[in-house]
Amino acid sequence: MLPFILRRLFTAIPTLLVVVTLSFFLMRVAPGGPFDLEQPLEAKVMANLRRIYQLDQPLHAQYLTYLGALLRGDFGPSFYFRDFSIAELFRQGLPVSMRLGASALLLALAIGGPLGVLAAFRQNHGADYAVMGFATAGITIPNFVVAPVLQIVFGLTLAWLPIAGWNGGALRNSILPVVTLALPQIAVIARMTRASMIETLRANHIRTLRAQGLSGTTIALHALRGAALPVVSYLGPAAAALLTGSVVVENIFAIPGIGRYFVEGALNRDYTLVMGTVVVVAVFVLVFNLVVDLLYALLDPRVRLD
Amino acid sequence: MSDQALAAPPVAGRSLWQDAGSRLRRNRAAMASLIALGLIALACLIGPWLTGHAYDRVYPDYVRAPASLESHPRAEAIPAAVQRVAARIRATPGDIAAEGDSVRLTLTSQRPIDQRLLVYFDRSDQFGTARVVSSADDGRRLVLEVPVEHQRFLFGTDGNGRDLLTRTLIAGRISLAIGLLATGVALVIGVVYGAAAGYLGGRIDMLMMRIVDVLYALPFIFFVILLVVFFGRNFILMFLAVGAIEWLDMARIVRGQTLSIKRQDYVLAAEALGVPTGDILRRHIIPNTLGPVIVFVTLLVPKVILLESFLSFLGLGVQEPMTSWGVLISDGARAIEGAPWMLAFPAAFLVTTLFALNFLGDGLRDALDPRDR
Repeated sequence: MLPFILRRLFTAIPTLLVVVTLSFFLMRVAPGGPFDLEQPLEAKVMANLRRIYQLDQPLHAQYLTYLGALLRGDFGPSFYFRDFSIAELFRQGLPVSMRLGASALLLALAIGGPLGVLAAFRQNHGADYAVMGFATAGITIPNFVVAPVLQIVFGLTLAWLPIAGWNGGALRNSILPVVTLALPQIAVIARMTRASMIETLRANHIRTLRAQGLSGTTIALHALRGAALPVVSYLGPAAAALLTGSVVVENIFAIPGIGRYFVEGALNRDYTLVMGTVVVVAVFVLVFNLVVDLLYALLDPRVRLD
Repeated sequence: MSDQALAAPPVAGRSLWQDAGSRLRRNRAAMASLIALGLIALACLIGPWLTGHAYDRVYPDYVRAPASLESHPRAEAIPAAVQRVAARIRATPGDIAAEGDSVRLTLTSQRPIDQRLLVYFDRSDQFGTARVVSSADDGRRLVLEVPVEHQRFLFGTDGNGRDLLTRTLIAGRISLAIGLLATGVALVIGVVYGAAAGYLGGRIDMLMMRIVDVLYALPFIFFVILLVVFFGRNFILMFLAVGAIEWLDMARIVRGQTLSIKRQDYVLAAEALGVPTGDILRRHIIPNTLGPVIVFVTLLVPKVILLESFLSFLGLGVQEPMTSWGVLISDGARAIEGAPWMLAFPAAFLVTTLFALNFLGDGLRDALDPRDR
């Protein structure tokens, strides 16, 4: 298993390099620069700024400088948040986003999985239709509709929970954003679990269990192992996306995560911030794809890690 | 064997598509979705001409009028409206009496009333051109007859006083067009790329799929924001480009299908007959991959519509006065306390469309893949 992990990590390096290179040059081709304001700066000031941030050097030299710094783990200074380095911004924001995303993911698994199993066992009955209706609603209603509705209902009308703010990660503050983040995931997980569960329940080994007169719970547990495979492969990219923060949820609930850095960074041409976010997201995607492959081998003995 | 048996008409075969069609017709949820989609598309196409309002016409007197079946102005609102106009003419209204579609009233003032100022009646949204019935006291006292202009706002009006029904329908045109456009681009690129990779196989396949893997690792929203930066606010170009990003899943699906199809006997036969590769792809491979592709398309359209509304929420989408469901919903979400109808109606249209597309996709999957029956 260890050689497999090492080999995968090794092959991830070229992918990461391509991602970094692509986004570096794409970002630089975009018109405008980090210091373009509505009132242009004085030429002298501009020249000084460009020299300090090494923007006056040729593009390939800048690229090599950035790559070298990245290898040493240095993400560089932020162009827009002048007093912060990218590493500081992430050190503050990433734990917040990760905690939010992990809670949402766990909640989605804890609710979506059992709902999907329930629907599969009651296929084409009332419970199935109820779960599928809920799941379709969860997929189709955008989270920027869900979030204000939750704020109005639980924050203002019932006044049970604060409508926004992070407050150091207090439980009361994180309930609404976690629920908003989890709803679509619950829906997707329930749908996928149902679909793969229905297929697994027709398999021969499950029929054998039924013939032996085992209880529904035991059968469900056996079937779940096979049915979990597609869900696991969905969860890889989904976990990467959730843990790296959501622009909409962090905006609406005023949460100091890293989700908003993408939009802010790209719109303000904060080159290092965008690059840092790209690298972080790409690393998360690659790591979770690896985790998915390992889980796959764990769940399905036919899959070999080589 | 009798002659009669020989004379019997040959058994008519049913193609995969006819079979799937009949299975789809038996699926009530899918058929209802199809009808709902048709109605929404029809309403969005011809509706804006029938509502009696232009989508960008501003009614300053009806800002955030709630949704109602009654026509504006209501009878009890007329005196106040007359009062407002009279104040601009610098006169005091009296004897206000509504008679059917017009109002008869008397204007009095300390000084003679400048009759040119009566144009203020015309300029308000509630009244037409005022007609002077009689003038007394050297023009200090005018008896007027003013026609009342009735407006109907079935869905209410938005924060600028524009008819929400017309705007919702116009927005539907944009959202649906964006969904179809981007999906079309993704379809073409994904099918051609996936079929080529799967059929050619070997090292070319590995290289092509490696490219897809790398693109997967690139954060999607990064691309989208860059596209906005590049193409500015030209959303047609932008959604062509979004389609050019969304083809990754399509390519994977088609490649998987192609890998299994290319081992089929009819493909081998075509190869043995010396049919060129391009023709094999076009005639034999691609048509047989279409089942899962159609299912994926019905699920991709709602995804793109949601993506557009997400961009509009960030302020990167369609620009005023044009609008889309996403723009209307994000406006409505901001005004949810004072004007809930501004969220309710566009959201209802969007959610109904997405629901219908999802059910249609599920129905098509069941129809084209009969294993799950």
